[in-house]
Amino acid sequence: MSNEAALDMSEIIGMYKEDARRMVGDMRAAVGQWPEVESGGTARLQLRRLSHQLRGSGRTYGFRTVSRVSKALEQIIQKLEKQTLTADERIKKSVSDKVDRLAKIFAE
Amino acid sequence: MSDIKSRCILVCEDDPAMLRIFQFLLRQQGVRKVVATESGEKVPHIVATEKPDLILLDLMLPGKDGLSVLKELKNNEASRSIPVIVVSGKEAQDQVRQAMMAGAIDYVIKPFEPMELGNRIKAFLETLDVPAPQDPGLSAPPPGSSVGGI
Repeated sequence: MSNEAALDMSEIIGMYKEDARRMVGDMRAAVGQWPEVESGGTARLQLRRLSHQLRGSGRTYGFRTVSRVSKALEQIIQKLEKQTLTADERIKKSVSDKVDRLAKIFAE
Repeated sequence: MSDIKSRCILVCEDDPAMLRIFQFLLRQQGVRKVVATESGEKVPHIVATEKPDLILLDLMLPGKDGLSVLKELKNNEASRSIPVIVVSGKEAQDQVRQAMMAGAIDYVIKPFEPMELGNRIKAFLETLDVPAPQDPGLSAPPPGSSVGGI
């Protein structure tokens, strides 16, 4: 079937990694603005948007772990929005660890 | 009968990584003209000028959200008949139902398998060449069209 050969996505995976590195960098910057994450400001919106995007694109590009970790991040942010979680130090560390994990995936 | 190469597809997606994969998949299917925007507000204008054969629409967009865009398209006589496939990370059944009720022909949940989406788009584009015998104003539904992730 001709489509099988067409699914060699190597030509766009390099660009995806570049995009993803930049997005993870933006996530790091948002975590660095933790008071804004606590208060529901721009940094929280940024974290939610980026984790949502990486969840969608990760597995589509073949990076299943990216989707899994990003989904966990997105769920934390959603819980902060619903106020079923408090943005305390434990949550900050959890978010920060997940962003670090994403950074490691794209560091290679 | 026109072929896939002559088709124009509008993609409304704010994530550059997803936009790239849509462009890749459409190119692989032989589509030469892909118009992209990350802004839901711009969709009606692009539709009026480019007259796309198919729209791939994200729901979570900056500014006007995809569902509002979809409703606007379906409420406008000039754009009502243009088929819209929603491709979204929103997986709640309520979201899917709302999009289908608003007039989407398909709902694909991100993340998705690229080959599956590519095949689905191709199958749909091929149906555009098949004349509808009873009502020429309506396009035939895509074979294998379904709701959900792939």
